[in-house]
Amino acid sequence: MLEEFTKANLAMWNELTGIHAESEFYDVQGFKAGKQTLTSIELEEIGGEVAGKTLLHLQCHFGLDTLSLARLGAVATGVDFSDQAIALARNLSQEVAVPATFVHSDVYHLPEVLDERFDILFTSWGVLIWLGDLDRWAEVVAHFLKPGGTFYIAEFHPFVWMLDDGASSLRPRPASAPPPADELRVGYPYFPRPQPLAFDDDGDYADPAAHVHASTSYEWTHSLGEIVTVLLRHGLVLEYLHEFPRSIGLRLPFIVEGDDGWQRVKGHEESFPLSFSIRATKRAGG
Amino acid sequence: MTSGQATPAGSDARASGSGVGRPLLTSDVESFKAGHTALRPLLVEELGDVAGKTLLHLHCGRGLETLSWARLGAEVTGVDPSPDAIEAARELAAETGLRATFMQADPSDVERELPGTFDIVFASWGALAQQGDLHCWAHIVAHYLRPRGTLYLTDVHPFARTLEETDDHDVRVSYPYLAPEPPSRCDRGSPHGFAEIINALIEAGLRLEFLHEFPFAAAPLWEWMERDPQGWSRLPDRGPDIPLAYSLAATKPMGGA
Repeated sequence: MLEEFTKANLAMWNELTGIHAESEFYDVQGFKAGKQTLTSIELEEIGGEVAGKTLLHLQCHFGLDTLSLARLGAVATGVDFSDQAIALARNLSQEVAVPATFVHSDVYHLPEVLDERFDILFTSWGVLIWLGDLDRWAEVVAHFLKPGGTFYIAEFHPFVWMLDDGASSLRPRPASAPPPADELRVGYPYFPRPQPLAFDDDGDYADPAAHVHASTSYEWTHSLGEIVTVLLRHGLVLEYLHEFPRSIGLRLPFIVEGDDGWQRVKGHEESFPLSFSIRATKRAGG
Repeated sequence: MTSGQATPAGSDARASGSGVGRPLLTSDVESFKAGHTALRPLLVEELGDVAGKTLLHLHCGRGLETLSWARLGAEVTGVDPSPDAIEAARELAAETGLRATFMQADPSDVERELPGTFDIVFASWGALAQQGDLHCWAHIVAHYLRPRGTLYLTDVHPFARTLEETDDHDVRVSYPYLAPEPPSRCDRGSPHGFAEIINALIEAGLRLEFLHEFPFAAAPLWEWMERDPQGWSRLPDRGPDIPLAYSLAATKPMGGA
């Protein structure tokens, strides 16, 4: 079953790669001209210390952030399960003459094809929902870190995925009184479950005009407690958990975008957490 | 703040601990006197064997949970700011013949009055609700843990504290999760998100061991919640689960804080 879900997700991500390469959101032209693609969160929290370090970027999509980290001096390796994305990443690396290694693999099987340990493991924005086995993910993270190495993630906050976007069929509603549209109610499960949620959506967060043919995706929910605890279980020591009321790239009805380019929750602009970051260290002994 | 917020109904801010998080029923006390524990099995399972260990219960309220740990073999000390709660706890200890030390003190001042360190620091339902700056609270926890000692904390989930009940017996997000500014000590009642709670503990020198979340709470957050066979309060079946409680453990490393 897991394979079937992954196959559908792969078909979608392969198709999205082509759409994203042309999208305003990813702004590949800007990147080629030298634009930094990391958000200020990653830049401030990890960007200043990657120079000269070996860095593994898991679920790198087509490598814009990987290459941005390389531009900051990291000796970067990017990994993605989409062959299309990795092919595009390699082309971009050549074209902008920023060296980086790109490996085509899913997270779970990466130890079979990559034999190296890294100073920094980086991953960001929209990665965890594609992982059905978060414990194995954390095991892979720990595997690739040198003792004393740093894990860093900036990611959508799990609370966001709970909120009803008006399309949830999971929440029983009294037919007589649908809740007001501007109310934030819980419409999707928060706790991890073995089965993913199936979504059928031919739109795309990066290109509102796109019509995606491979439109069925399978996404797993992961709670904040699960994310933190799997890392600790595999020998990482938490240095911090940060929560931010802002994010990028969400396509949800309760999201507003500010002049600063950050998205926030309408009516809860400074108080609802839309993203988080975690920094953790692999124990020197482990 | 309105009565609809997820502050447990019937909260008594003076008697914190089991007072705030869990309205104390006469039947709870009677049941305890009859030999039953006031601790949910989940807590006992997560903290593990406490026999022979020293345990400090911050915000102990009337001491039911404190004395339940004593019944499991821990050497317990309970601290609470409410004189009435401490008096009741002492009476209950005397009546049940359980050995325990109870002390009336605001946990933020307790350092001056209570010497020693403990194997376990325990805090539960509502313990953080009355705190302003959590750094102060985390510092006290770290101060009272011996090296390798464990903090075990369980409370209402910070997401649940953002919720308000609706007319159709559901909930909506209404209250802040993130504090607008870093809270000051006087800012009692300002929200404490997970980042704030966890980072305060890390900055006090503790190492996080786990963060667990649960779709149930120790007491009804809204009147129409249902009690399950284990005594947990749950939302009536509404489809997707909502996190209502959490627990975490953190240890003090060997090298000290």
